[in-house]
Amino acid sequence: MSELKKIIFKSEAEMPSSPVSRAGTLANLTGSWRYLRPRYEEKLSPCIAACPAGERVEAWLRLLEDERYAEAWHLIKSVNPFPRVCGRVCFHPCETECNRGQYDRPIAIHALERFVADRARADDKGRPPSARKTGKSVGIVGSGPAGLTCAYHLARRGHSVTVYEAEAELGGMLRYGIPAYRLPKAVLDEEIEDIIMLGIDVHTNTRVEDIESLRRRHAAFFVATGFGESNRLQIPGEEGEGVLTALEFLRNTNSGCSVEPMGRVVVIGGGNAAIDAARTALRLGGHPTVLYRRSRAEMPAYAPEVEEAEREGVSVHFLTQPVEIVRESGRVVLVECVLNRLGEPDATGRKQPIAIPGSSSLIEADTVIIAAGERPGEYPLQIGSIPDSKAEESGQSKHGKFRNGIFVGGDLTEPRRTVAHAIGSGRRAAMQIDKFLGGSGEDPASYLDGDVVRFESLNLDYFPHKPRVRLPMLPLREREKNFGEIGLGISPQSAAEEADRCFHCGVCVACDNCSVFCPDIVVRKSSDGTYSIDYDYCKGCGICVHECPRNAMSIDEEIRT
Amino acid sequence: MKKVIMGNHAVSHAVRLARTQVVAAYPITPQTQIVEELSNMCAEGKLRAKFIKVESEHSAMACCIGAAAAGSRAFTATSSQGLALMHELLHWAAGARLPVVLAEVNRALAPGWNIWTEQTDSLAQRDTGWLQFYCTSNQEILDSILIAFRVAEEVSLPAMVVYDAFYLSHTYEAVDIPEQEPVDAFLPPYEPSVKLDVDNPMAFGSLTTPEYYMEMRHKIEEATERVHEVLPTTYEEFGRIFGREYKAVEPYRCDGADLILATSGTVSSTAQLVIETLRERGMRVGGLNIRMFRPFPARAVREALGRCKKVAVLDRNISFGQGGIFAQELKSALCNEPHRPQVFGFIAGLGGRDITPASIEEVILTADKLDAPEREIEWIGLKT
Repeated sequence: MSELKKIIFKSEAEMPSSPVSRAGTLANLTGSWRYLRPRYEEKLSPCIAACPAGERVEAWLRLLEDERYAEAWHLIKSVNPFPRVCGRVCFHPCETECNRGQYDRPIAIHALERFVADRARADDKGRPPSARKTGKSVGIVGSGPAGLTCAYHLARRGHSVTVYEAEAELGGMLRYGIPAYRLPKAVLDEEIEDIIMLGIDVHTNTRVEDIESLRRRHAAFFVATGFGESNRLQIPGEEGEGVLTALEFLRNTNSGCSVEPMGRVVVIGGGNAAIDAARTALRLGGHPTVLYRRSRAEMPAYAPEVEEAEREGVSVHFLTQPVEIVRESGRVVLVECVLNRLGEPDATGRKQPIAIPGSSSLIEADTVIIAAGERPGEYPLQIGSIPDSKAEESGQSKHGKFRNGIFVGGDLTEPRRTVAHAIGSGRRAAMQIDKFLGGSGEDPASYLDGDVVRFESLNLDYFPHKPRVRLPMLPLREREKNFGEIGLGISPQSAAEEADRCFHCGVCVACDNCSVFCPDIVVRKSSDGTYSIDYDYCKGCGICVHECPRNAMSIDEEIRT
Repeated sequence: MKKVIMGNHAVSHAVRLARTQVVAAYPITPQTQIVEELSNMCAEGKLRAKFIKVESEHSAMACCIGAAAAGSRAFTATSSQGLALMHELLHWAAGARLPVVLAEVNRALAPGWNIWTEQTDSLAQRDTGWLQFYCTSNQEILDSILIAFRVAEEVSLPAMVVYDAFYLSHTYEAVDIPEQEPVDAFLPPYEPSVKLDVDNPMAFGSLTTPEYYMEMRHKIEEATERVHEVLPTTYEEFGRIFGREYKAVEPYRCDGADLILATSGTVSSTAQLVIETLRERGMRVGGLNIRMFRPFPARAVREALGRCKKVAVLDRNISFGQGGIFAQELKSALCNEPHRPQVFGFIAGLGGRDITPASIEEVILTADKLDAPEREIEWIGLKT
């Protein structure tokens, strides 16, 4: 710092015409006045934190906003090989957590994911170049979303992958559990094809009875055989013709087996399988009624699906519990039910149904479909993957190596059995296997451990209210007796407008607000669109932090030593 | 090219021709059309200026001050309440020696709420250090804006171009809109000696102790006085280029006049018609249009009025407790003269009430028949 010199004017003529300093003021490092220190600190968007599949939702929304479809698609695909599937069937917890939901309505993320993936698949197959071969081989048992996701990531890392599937076709629950009106088979086939094209060896109609027998072929195994068995009701009349489980029913329909005339169909249960079964029965000409033993609020099925089912003509009876399936000459004729009231919540937090004495009633039925939940069954134990007889315990050492390179995932380990959770499980397992085989195991979906941005921390002055895109649906009369897809796509213009509603919580989008509002002109923008603060002159007023619309800046006490 | 345009748009065209770099303004009747047209010009690329929308007139002037400090040619426009709200920053612009130009459409102050013409709003700002020019026609408005920029930049002081609401602001007249080239020749780019520069920051408007403050004020006064030298040569050059002649004070048929009526703004042109009629009737009467109010052209006023017996001053404004403001200024200019005329002060046309030829005649005849004023203020056309 140059030495300060006092200037004394001896005459008016020596003085400047207005009060302006003679010397420059750069020597005065006003940053020393600061007791608060602003800084750039990106935080985690709630959509990213909420995505079970690990997608960087906010980032691909930003690409979509700029109509950079291919880049958006590649970003999704770096984590999730099933964006077209997820864009249709995921229950999108990202939208539930979207901060915009507290402002007007959340971004229609699932519709945008579907848009970008459908469009990119149509435009450009854009398969990533295959990695250098590692010479390591992995066997994957089960080709549901977890197994195929694991296969996809391992193949992209150069491992040789073999998928073993007991059924005739790949896909697991995606193929045999989800009806075509929600997920067209062609869409599923194309996404699976993209995975297999990476060079994956496929063995269908192959039930692995014992992993030990395959030891020589593979250095590691991933077991994702899912929840293949259905719970029963344990009531009289359940055994015999005319009664089947939702899984059996959906599997038959989805694999193209001819199904007998349905008549009056009683579906028992309140989960997604019950609703899928009822809506499938409706499309096959049946007259379905769903019986659920608790009330609408406790229903595990996704509420919009229940609403659509009811709009289509499925009737749902709540607080209704079947006690016997009545048969006449072996044929199902009636379901006897009692009415319940709700008692205290049980360990799961749901109110317990309690039968009301003397409330019994009869419902006519030709077919009964039981959708009382699923379980893994004995199969994974038989093949030697789970060390303990209790499936729950597998959760304690999630994706852990059990014995000699055997990894477990999907529904067998996930706390929630959804497609997105299975995809996330498959990816994480692939990373562990990669590491086990000597790879980096670097997860494409490992994000900064930042705070998740809360709604209250956004500066909403910068976000005008804008309606959410209207999602077109097939008219009701066009859904009758066919399995045409119900959800329709959106236009590129709607997609760009919808993506434009995104707050980009916690992420700097180079909006320049910090620079525009800085009263000390100390925010500098570099050519790559990032900013820096000249702390020599920043007085710590905090205006930049306050005016950041999306909480991509933080301010802390200045600690001087 | 001659075009029939309203007074407000005459301002807009002048601001465009001046290649103004920053326009910041807040809308207020009867000014709004000025900046409305300027925003169109900016949008269409006819004026390459930064158009800053602001939340108040206070902010508008603050923007102009910042822009001028950074070396830009800056403009704003306002009226009445808006000008009153700017008051603090009017002082700042002058004290910082920034040549901002402001179009001020005279409008009466509230309450009672009134949008019509009256000069009290601009005259109430007479001590802020701004130059003030009062106009009588739409052509004069356009020319005055160009002249104001030129003079303001020459002496480093801000300038107001003032004109009557509706009589000029919304009235269409034929105006010769000059080509860009002669305007560029008359008004070169603004290049201040010291300016705000982020790459070489300096302290502006800093603490000035009693040791120096008075000298700074003296410098402002000197610069203001210098306008008396700068303005005539500027008018002369303007006349050479554009063919239109102006003076700070314009006598009309004052030769041999016993009584001279002093006016400003649009009243001056009406007064000339009345004077013409009365001259035909043999009355020795003349007129004086006072175009520049700050700095007050005291010498020119003394020269014009020094030989007549009586001066009638018609004020469309009032300083309560003292009367018309032009009358006060004339009296103070004349008070040390050995042969002082009697000064008759009249108030008329407040809040936009018409000043008709009949009311001007009443003013002249009242002053003519009395030897000396009977009271400090004569109100014309008051309902009694």
